[in-house]
Amino acid sequence: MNRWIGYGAVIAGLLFLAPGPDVCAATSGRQALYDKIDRILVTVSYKAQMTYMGESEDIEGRVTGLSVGPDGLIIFDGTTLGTGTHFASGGTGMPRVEKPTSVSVTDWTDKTYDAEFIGVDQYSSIAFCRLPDSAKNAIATAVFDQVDLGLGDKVLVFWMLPESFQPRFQLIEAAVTAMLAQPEKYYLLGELLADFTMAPVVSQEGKLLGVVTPVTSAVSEYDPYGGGMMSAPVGIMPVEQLRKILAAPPVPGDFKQGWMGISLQALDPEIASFWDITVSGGIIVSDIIARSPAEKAGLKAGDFIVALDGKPLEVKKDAALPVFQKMVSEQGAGAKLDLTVLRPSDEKVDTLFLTLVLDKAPVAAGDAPSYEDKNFDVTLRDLVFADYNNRNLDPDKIKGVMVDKREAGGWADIGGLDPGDIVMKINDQTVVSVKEAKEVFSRLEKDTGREVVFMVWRNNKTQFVNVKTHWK
Amino acid sequence: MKGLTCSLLTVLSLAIGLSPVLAQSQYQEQIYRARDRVLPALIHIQPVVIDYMTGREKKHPVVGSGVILSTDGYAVTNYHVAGKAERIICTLSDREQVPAKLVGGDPATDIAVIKLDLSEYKGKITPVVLGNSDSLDVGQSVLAMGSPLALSRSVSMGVISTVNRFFPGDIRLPSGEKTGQYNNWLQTDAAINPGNSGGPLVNLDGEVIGINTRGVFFAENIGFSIPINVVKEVTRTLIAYGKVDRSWVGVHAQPLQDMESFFGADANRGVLIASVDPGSPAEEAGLAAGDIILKYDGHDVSARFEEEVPAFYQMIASSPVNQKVDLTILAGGKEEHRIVTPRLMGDLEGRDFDFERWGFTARSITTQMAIDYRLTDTVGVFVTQARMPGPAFTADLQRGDVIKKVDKQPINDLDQLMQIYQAMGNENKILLTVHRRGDIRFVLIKCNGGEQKEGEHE
Repeated sequence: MNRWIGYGAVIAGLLFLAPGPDVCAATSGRQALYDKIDRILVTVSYKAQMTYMGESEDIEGRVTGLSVGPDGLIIFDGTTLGTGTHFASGGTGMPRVEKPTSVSVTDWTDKTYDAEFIGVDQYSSIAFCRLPDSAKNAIATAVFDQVDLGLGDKVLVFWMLPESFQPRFQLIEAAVTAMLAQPEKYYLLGELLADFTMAPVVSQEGKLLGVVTPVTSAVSEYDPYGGGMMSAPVGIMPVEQLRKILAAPPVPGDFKQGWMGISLQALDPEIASFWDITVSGGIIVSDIIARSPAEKAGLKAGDFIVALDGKPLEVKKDAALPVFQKMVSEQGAGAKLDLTVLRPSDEKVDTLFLTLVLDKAPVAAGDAPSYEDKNFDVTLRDLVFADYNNRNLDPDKIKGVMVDKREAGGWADIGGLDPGDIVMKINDQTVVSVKEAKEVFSRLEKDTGREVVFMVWRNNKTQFVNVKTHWK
Repeated sequence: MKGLTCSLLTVLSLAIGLSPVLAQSQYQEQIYRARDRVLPALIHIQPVVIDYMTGREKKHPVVGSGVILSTDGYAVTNYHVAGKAERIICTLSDREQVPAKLVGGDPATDIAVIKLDLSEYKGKITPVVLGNSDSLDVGQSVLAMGSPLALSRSVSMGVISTVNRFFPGDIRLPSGEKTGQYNNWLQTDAAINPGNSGGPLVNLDGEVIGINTRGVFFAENIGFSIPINVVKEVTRTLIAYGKVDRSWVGVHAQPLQDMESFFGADANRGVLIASVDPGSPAEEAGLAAGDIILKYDGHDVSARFEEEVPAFYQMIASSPVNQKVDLTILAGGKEEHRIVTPRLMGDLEGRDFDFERWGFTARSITTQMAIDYRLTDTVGVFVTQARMPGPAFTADLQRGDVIKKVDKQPINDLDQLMQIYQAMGNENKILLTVHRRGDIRFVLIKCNGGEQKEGEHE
């Protein structure tokens, strides 16, 4: 640490004694603007484990964060961490990042605090953590301003520099390149890429407008016309939307988000016109999950949901589906939805009014109960909704536990258990949860010297895997 | 003493040094004789094959090898060389070119038979002599002949590295069919490169003992040949019937090795059933995963090691269709009987068609495809690829989608969809109802009257 920073810390101490909007009036222009925002900015360092194809490795990250609550609430870029809690990433085919094992927050004086990880907002990929009680007022809190921007208006973006740099951020001037209406209302900042996620955006007058977020949850998509991967556009989320997200940080272990239990497709008005229906958009129900709220409400695959609580749905393209999903999710488990449903058949189109009571969102793979067996060097976890959905499994036929990880060279690995295998039986015992698997394993441990035969679901077929056990 | 040993050694080495020279020249003679017996029957094959892999019907020339079986011009090659050929040009060993026609192909063994059109050929046809692939020795010298990388009439040499190589898992031909489950393979270190496919593996008596079929990318000196005894059987059937019918029971076997005590079976006895296809004769007969088949139609069967599994599959495949077979099985430690009635397996993959205006290729759905891709039934048409760019691609039609309806017309099979397509002409918008991994989806294809130019954006 150099003298400059030590000096800064003294200034910071003074500031907290007398905080106010014009503390930096002494300096002028852009520097004053920088200093003002710098004080509410933090860098967040985390350590986490990434699981990919059954192997885990430690990863570290350093991202931009922002102090947003009087009680020590910090938001930061959760793009990487988001997949662990996003319920759609259940399979083992894509890397999954577990909840961070440690999170620390560094303020503008280079002082570092240990923080408690809270979770990641599913749609914005904004991650939350909280400073300990002893430090909850240590960092000044951001105040967001609603400013109406126009096409071409210039804004300033704070972009984090590498770790050893001082100052910590550089200012980048960006212009509003589009005023997006669909799928959501965003000011697009065309020159910026997804790398800028969570970078604070400030008006020329120094008002904090929000943070850079990718539009929709998709970070990138494939460009069919030969350009390879296309980066999704980024922009500034409307302040009221950001405030809504900040007002309800995710609660660890509590899945209060509402869930209907359908697969869905956007109802393009042109598709509806094939049945001579005129709509402004809607949702095509592609599939109904067994025993879900949708099934109980009487929805059928092929139905068109055209209005929610009497309000017409304007979802026309699949890209806008996250808007609908978010709307449902935010209602919370237990909420009642009145659906206006069109049921087209060859001859006619029936109109139905159905009431659906939302359930809580299914548990994510990263949050499913798991069990690591040290003798076999294997980690099993409960099957989650996403496993059934991604692999198109029949929940009535395929029951078991998922091989989540296995240590290379361990007995499970040598015997041929693969990550992604669904263990349906251990010896003659059917297992439908890790709790049951654990019981079987503990019985096996007493019963020494036997081979253990796992019946697994692999490549859409059953198969037997013999794991020889060499108990000590 | 020391000097004596030295001179003794010198004499010894001289003495034994003489006989290898003699043997070597005999050995060389033997190689020449073997070469000369096969080379006249070696052919360089240039088929034009049709594929649908890019979402459009596309012809392209390929190169392979083959060998003449009879004086009337039957020749054998690989299915992946000529099995989907529209026309075939063959270059004979005297560099004369003749056309040929496809007689039949069998994707499951990767064998195809072609017939040379010799009406204008003035030379002499000398067919090969087929050996016996059941009496080969590991380490035995062999020659591989063919057109590696299109370099015709090339000979390479090596030994039989193993006579019983088993490939676990799911090997597929470029055209999508599962292959290799009915036989083990000869492995050789004689160089086999792309273009060698369909060419002969020859012993030093000049007998063909295998058909060279595959190499391993990024590996050296590892090539695989189909044993000639398998080839004999398949070519005979192909010449007689144009295709190979197999019986289907719907069980997947697994080696019993190390699991006998768990299943209460005797060592060296029985075939473990790993899984049973849904809707298959085996399922109807009440067979289940974990059962052990001890006898098939009164014959003892066994697959303790993986190399023994193909013979079991072959036994099922060659049993007569629609005739009851008595199985003795071990279920839950007790000997029981099950009666299974094999059905005709039918084609592994369906026929392809290019729906050019709509911008995709699709395939008829066979029973085996329905099982393979876990479709609920064979109703509909299987999308193989949307052309990129193209109307169907823009509409997000995906490989694996099963077309169930066009506008409001339910679609049963490929022929019906083709009829509708041909009757429709230049409709601007077509609404497809497809099944995608259990979901119903609507795909709105906008043809815009004409074809989009390559690389042009919407």
